[in-house]
Amino acid sequence: MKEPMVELQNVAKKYIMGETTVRALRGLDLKINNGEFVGIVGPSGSGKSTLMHIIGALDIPDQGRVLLDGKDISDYDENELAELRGNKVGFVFQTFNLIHTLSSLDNVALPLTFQGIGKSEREERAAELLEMVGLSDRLTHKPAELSGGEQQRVSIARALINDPDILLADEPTGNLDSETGKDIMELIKGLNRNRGTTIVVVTHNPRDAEYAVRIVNMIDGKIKNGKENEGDN
Amino acid sequence: MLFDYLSLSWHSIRNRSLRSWLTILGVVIGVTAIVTLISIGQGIQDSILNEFDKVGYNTVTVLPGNFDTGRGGFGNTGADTSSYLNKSVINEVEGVKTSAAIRSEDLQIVSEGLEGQAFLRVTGMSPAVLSDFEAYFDGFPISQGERFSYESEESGVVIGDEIARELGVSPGDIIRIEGKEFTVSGLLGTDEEGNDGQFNFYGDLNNGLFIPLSALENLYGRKGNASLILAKVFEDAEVSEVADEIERAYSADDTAATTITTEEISNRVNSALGTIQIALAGIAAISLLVGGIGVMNTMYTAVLERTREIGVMKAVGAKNGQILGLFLTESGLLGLVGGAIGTLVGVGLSILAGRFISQALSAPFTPSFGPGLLIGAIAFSFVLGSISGVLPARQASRLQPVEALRYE
Repeated sequence: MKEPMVELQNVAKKYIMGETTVRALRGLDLKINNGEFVGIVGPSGSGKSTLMHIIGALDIPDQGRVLLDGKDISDYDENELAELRGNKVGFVFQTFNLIHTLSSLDNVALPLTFQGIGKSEREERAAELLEMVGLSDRLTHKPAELSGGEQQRVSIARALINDPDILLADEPTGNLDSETGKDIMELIKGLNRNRGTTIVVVTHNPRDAEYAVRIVNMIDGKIKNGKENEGDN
Repeated sequence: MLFDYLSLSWHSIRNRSLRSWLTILGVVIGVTAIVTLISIGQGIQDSILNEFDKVGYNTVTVLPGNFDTGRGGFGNTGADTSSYLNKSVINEVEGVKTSAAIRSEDLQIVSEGLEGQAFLRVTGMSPAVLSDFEAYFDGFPISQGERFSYESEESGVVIGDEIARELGVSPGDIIRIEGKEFTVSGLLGTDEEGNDGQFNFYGDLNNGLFIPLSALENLYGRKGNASLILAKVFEDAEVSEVADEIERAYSADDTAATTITTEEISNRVNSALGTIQIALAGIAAISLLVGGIGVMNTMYTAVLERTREIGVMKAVGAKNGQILGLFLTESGLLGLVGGAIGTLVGVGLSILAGRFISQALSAPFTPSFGPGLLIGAIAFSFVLGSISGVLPARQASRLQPVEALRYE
């Protein structure tokens, strides 16, 4: 059998918020195969975002093992995790999280700056991706000069610049109107179909979840049940 | 990579334009103060040292009386208040190459342009004064006419230009000193070589009357006496030893004498100026320190403001060291820009101040900026900015990406 892209074994994570300890993940197993499109759904506080952070090597679990592309990253240090994120993971956030002082082109190219890739190559690749997300006429615009949908497209282009093994999107349509949200989900779906990128979308929105091929339902830090979406969306 | 850091830093500095400029202004003020004070101080020191060089470090000044020069002299211990020195004693001291005698007396002056009479200081100079110790009088600059002649039968007098105006005389006119006629041979002022007599070891040249020493002796008697003796020491002799020897020789002659070497004067002036300069630079350094604290404050604010941005950068693969480098570059850049502007403003300000000083002293004065000062000031500001950024940058680099992304 093919090795899964992501494998979580009995993963637990707790946070201390003020005086209370939040057990965000409580012993969770999950496998995501290469090329899958997974939607993670569940109520607020169910641990969706924490799960996504751990899959994306932004955080490490207190307990259990995390294997990314077959490698155990559970005890990686901060710099090893950073390198992993820089090479293998792309993030798309609800609030876009673009750097407002930089143009679209520079925002998209930013991850490559930290890889030490030269300016001309960075800009060339960033321009290609911006063209792919339909923003070839917005290269020099700053985030404030773009609509929400355009900003999210820029952030998707940024997530793809390192040609990631896995794209993680946390409520990618949360700050967009439904029409624009639909466009963004179509774009993400297209990436999965045309480029074969493994995609994990965390969402509240049932309409977004419908785009996923597999749904992971979370509640109280555990996976309640998983199901395959019926039909081909 | 450094260029990328610079470019990213520049974007964020420009984005916080007003705050960045205010922070930079803090550094500018500190650097301006330091550059201005040091360049003016250095200019003063240079111009004084230049005069000492002209006089020569092998010159010893001998004064009657006994006072402490700080060198532990050999003056007569008796309460000798004589205001004269026997000018021949110095010639017996081994190591003295040449010497010259100067004697000043207050004498009665009468001139056509003057109502009644005046008592003015008349200085007699032995021939060696102007041949060997010209620099002592800043070149004894003649603006009109010529110097008096030691050979001529007719007695000549050189008059300071200010007193000449009061006496209403110009070269060729005749004045009477103690009843004896003297022809005004020349007026002191700025000569063709640009000497203006402002900086000399004698005193106010503009208000003096100068005649040959022999003429003064003819008028006033007490032949062989001097109120000040200048001596040049042989090149291979130790100046301070010869100076001690001179004091001993006068002591043996029962006259109290005090010697001052050019080096002593120059050392004293230098150390006094040095102390002033250090004190001024210290005060200026405080303002630079405040500028540095301003940079630190701005960088802490920037780290807070950009917490999410730091989280994003980490999410897309920035390592701790890269975030540290980014923020250090930014704070260093604030220091560097402040330093560069401050240095420019400081140079401008000290040139301006130099003009005022020139006017106030009516003597030419130029502030001195060595490349060391200029490059040093800029480099120091960069280092100051970077150091001020270390703590904020460390804080930024250690942020946990998940928490940073959650920061509102």
